[in-house]
Amino acid sequence: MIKVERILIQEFRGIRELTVVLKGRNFAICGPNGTGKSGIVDALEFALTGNISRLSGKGTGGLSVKEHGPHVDSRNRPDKARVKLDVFIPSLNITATIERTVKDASKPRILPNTPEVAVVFAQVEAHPEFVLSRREIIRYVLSEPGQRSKEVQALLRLEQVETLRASLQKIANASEKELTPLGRGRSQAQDALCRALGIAQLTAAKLLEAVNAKRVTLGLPAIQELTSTTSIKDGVATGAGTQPQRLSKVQATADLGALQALLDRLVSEAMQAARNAAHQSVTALSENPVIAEGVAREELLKSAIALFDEKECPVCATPWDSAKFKAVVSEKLKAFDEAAAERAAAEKLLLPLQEIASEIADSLALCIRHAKQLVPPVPTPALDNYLVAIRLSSKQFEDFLPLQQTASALETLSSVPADVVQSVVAVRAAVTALPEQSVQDAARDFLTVGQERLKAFRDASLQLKAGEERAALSKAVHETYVAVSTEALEEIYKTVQKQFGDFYRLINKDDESTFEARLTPSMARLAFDVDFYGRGFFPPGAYHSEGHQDGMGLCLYLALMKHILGDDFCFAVLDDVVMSVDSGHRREVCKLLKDQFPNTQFILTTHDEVWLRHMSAAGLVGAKSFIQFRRWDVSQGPIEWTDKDIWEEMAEYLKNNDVRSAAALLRHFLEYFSREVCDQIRARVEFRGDGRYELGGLMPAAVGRMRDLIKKGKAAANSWGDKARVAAIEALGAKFGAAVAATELESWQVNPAVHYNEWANFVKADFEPVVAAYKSLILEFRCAACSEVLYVSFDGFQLDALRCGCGKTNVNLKPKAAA
Amino acid sequence: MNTLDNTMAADPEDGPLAEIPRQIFEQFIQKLSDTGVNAEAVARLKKTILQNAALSDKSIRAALFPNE
Repeated sequence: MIKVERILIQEFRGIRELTVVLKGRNFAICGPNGTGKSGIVDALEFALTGNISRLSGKGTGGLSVKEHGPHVDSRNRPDKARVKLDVFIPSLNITATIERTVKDASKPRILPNTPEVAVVFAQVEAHPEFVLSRREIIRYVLSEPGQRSKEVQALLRLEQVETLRASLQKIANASEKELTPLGRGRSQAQDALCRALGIAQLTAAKLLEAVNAKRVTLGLPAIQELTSTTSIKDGVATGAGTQPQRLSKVQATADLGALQALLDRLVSEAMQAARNAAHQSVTALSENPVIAEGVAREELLKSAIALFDEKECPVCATPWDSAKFKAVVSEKLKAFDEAAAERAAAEKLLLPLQEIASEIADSLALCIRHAKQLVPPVPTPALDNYLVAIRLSSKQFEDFLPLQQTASALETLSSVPADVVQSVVAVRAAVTALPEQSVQDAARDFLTVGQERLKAFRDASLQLKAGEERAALSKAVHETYVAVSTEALEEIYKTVQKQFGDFYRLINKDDESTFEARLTPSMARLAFDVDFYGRGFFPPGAYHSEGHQDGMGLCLYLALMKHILGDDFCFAVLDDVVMSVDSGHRREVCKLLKDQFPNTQFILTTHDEVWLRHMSAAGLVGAKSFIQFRRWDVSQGPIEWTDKDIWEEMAEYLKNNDVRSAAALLRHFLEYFSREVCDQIRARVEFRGDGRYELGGLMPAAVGRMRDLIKKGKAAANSWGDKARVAAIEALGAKFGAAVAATELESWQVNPAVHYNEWANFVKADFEPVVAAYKSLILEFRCAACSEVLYVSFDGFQLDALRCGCGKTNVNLKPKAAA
Repeated sequence: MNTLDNTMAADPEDGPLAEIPRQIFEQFIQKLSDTGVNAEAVARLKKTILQNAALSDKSIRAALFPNE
C-alpha cells in the first residue's frame, strides 16, 4: 500500500490546476458543498485505479470517465486532463510516482518503473474501496441482507467465492434435471421390452421364463443366468425362417395396442383437465405484459450470461469486464423473481403433458416403422406429420418460451387428428391381416425383437446410471463447497463482527459501552443486527439515529479493511462519511482513527468547519494538514482561503468600482481568518449553539486575546528581568495596537458608520483604507518570518508560549514564579 | 493440445485469485480429498480452480465430467 505525498491535478473534473501537499500525513479537505472537494477524491481514485466510481457506478447511465472526466472546458482534450501522485511506499521504503491522463486512463505512467512498484500500485488498484463515501456506508449498514452480502463480499474480495458457488450449484441443478428425461427414457425402454416379451413386470426371472419358453421352441438351450451381456437370441441362426426381414405380427400388434392406449390416455378426461390447466396458466402468463416481459427478459438475461464470451456483450458487442458484466446481469435477473415463480408453476403443470407427448412420439415412431415393413407398406403421411408435431410440442414444453408457441403446442394435444386415428386403424388392420406365423418363426421374431429392446433398455439404464453418478458427484462437490465456504465465511464474519463491535464501543463508550453486533451469513445473504441498549438485536436502521448509523458504517468499513489488508491498510479516503455524527462522538471518531490506525493515512473531506476543528483539536490532522476551499467557479475551479488571492481579488473588485463585492469578500475572509486565529490562540468567543459565528463576535475576541497574550508575555519577561525582551514585546504591542486602531474595529459599537455591516455602502475611496488596515492587522497575527498564524502552546494546563511553526516568534508566557 | 488440456485452459478474466477465496478453495479441495470424492475429479478441480483460477460453470463442468 501507499501514502500520498502530493497530488497534482490538471484540467480534471471541476479543477483547472491544483497541487495539494499531504506529506504522507492525515489530511483534511474542507469547504462548502460544490467547492471542489469531491474533485480531489475523484482525482485520487482516478490516479490509482483509472476509474471514477461516481461516473461509473449504479445510476450513472450516460456518464463516463472518458467523456466527463476532463474539465468541461477541456472536454475535447482528454490528454490535458491529468492527475499525478507522488507517493511513499512503506513496504519498499521508497517514493514513487503514478500519473494518468483521461486519454490513456488504463495506461498509468509509473516511476520508478520496477516490478516491485508495479505490484504495489496493482494492489491499490485492486482495492478501489480505499475511497469510502457516505453512499457506501449506507450500502453496508442499511441495505437488504442479500444486497449487503454482495457489498461486503465485494469489499472482502469474495466475488470469486460466490462465482464458484453459483457454478457448482448450476452444475448440480443441471445434473439433477437431466435425470428426469433419462429416467423417462429408461422407463419407456422398459415398457417396450416388457411389451415385446409379454411380461407385466421386468425381473430377471420373468424375463428368462418368457425367453426360455421361446428358446425351447427353437431347440436352443435355456439361459440360466441373466448378466449385463447376455444375448437372449444367442444361437438363433441369422436368416433362418421362412420369411426373413418380415414384420413380427405379435410385436406389431402389441406396439399398436400400446400406441392406441396412449392416444386414449391423451384424450382422457384427466389428461385433458391437466392440459386445460397448463394452457390456462401459460395463456395467463402470456397475457400479462409485465410477467410475460419478465419471463422473456429473464430468459434473455440468462442467455446473455450463457453466451457471454468473457470479453464483450453478446448483444451489442460492447467490451465488458467479466465480473462487472455478470454482476450487472445478475442484479437485473433479481428483478424477475415474481416472473420466475409464475414460470416454475406453469412448468410444473406442463410436466405430465411433456411425458405423454414423449411416450406417444416413441410409440408413433414404432408404428410408422411397422407400417413401412408391411408388404405392401401402409402409407403414413398423417402419422409422420403427427410425429413431427408431437415431437415439436414436447421440445416446446421443455423450451417454455415463447409462451405463444407453448400455448399452441398445448392445443396440439387437445385431440388426436382424425387422419391419425384413421392411419392407426389402417396399420392395425394391415397387421391383423398378416398371416399367422409358424411357432418357430414367432419364437425367432420374439427373441430378435426382445434382444433389440433389451439392448435399448440396457443402453437407457447405462445412461441413467451415468446421469445418476454425475448428479451424485456434482451434488457432493456442491454440498462440500457450501459447507466449507460457509464455515470459512462464518469465521471471517465472526472476526469482523468482533472488530466492528470493539470500534463502535470506542466511539460510543459514553452510552453504549456494552454494545454488541451480529453478522449472520446464510446462503447469499448477510444479516446485520445490532444491540439497542440491551433491549434486543435489531437492524441498524430500526432504532439507532442517523449519526449512530454513520458511525456503524465507518466502523464496519474499518473492521473489514483491517481484516483484508492487515498492516497494509495504510491509506483511505473518507469522503464526508461522518456528517451526521454528533460533536461528542466525532472526537471519539478522531481518537479511533488516530489510535487504532496510527499507520494509516486518512484523507478526510467535510463541508463542516466545526468537524475540521474537531479533527485538528484531536490531533487527527496537523496544523498545516488541511486545505479549506471558500468557493468554486467554472473557469478557476476550487478557490482556497489564501491571503494572496484574497487581496488581489479585492483589488480587482475595487478597480472595477465594485465595493459591494469587495466588502463581502473582506467580511467573509475576515470571518474565516479570525475564526482560525481564535482557535489558534484560544480566544474566548461568545458561544453560539448553531455554530454560526460572525465577524462581530470573532474579530474583537481575537484582538482582545492577542492584547492579553502580549500583556502576559510582557509580565513574564519582567518577572525574568529580561529588559530587552520587555522592550521587544512593548514594540510588538505598540505595532499591534496601531494596526488595530487603523481598522477602527473598536469603534464599531460607538460609531455604526464604521461597522462592517456598512462597508457595502462605502464609496471606493472610503473602503480602500479599510482594506489596507485589515491587511496590515492580519499580518500582526502571523509570524513575520514564516507567515504562519501564531498559536499558544501549553505546559499542562498552564499557558506556555505564543509561537509560530518556524520558531522565530516565541513569546514566553510563563512568569518566573510559575516556571 | 488434447481435449482435456483445452478444457483446463485458464480463463484469464477470472484470475488471479484473491487471498481469501484462495484460502477457501484450498480448504474445499482438501475436504473433497478427505471425504473420498473421486480422486481424479478432485485433481482436475484442483488444477482448474487453484492453478487456472477458472471458476465458470463451463470450466468446472469440464473438470467434473471430462468425457462429456
